[in-house]
Amino acid sequence: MSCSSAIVVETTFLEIERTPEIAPMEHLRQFAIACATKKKTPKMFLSKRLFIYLCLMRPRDEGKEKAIRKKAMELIVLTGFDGLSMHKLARVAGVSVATIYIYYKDREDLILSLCKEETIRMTEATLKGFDPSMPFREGLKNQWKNRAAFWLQNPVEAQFLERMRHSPYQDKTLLFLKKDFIVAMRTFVTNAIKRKELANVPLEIYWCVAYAPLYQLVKYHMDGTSLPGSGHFALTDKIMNKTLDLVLKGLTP
Amino acid sequence: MNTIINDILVFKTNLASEEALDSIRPILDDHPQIMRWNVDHWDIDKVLRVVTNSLAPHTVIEMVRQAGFVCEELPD
Repeated sequence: MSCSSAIVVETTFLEIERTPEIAPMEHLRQFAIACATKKKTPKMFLSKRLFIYLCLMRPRDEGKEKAIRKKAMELIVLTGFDGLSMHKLARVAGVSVATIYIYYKDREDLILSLCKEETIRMTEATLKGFDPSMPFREGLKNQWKNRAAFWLQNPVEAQFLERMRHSPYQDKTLLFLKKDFIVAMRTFVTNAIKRKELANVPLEIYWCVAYAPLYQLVKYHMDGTSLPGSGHFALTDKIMNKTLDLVLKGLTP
Repeated sequence: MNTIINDILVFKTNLASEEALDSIRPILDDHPQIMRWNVDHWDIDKVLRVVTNSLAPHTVIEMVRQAGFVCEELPD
């Protein structure tokens, strides 16, 4: 294999592996092996070289990679970006430092790859059952449910993304937000304003009124407590619906 | 069997400054058997990562040492 094609192969496959919509590289490898066993050259590969490369590839240890990703996010959430060193990460993930560098070029590469994957997961979860043409009340209720569910089911991932948004990586984080997500959210607002279901206010004001109360409730829930002296707090459907009612009142023109 | 995944070599170095990188850059850039390399400047070990399909770790170590820097293999 020549140098330049090897670079392309390596870059392409690292990219494929990190794009959840495309079959993971391990699946491609197994497919290639299956084809090789049947002595059949698959048509889907760009070149014979890629095919041979896949057949020779070392089986990827998905368990190891998952552990690296999970522990990296935990470290960042607990100790900030400065707290993430490859050494510490290797220790808590139970792999060697060298192994981490097989998957990631450097620390930034790891952080951005995590951010990309989690942003895609987050937007998919947020768009579940959502349609920008929904009546405003129904659509916002769907959003509250989806967003609360993502936070409660993925506390580490959600806090990691939150940190990314308030870090020097902010610009890059926004690039990972899929266009269809941004378009869906904007269309939803424009439709609601047109139908006079939503006050015509700048987006920032809309967002603060529409979502900040929800995220505050989620934070109380994760802390297990709210204001000083008020004891244990847990977010229930009843509390969420009551708050949402008030928010809708405030946003109605 | 050599595969590309196996051909990522990593080393602990003291390539901490821009000047250090500048002096090592031509050596690694121009090496025909090195496809790509980078130094993780965030890491305390200033990890040098080299993508090659033919170089043995000790060759890279020798090259970096001859340029006057510390270079040792990271344990697998």
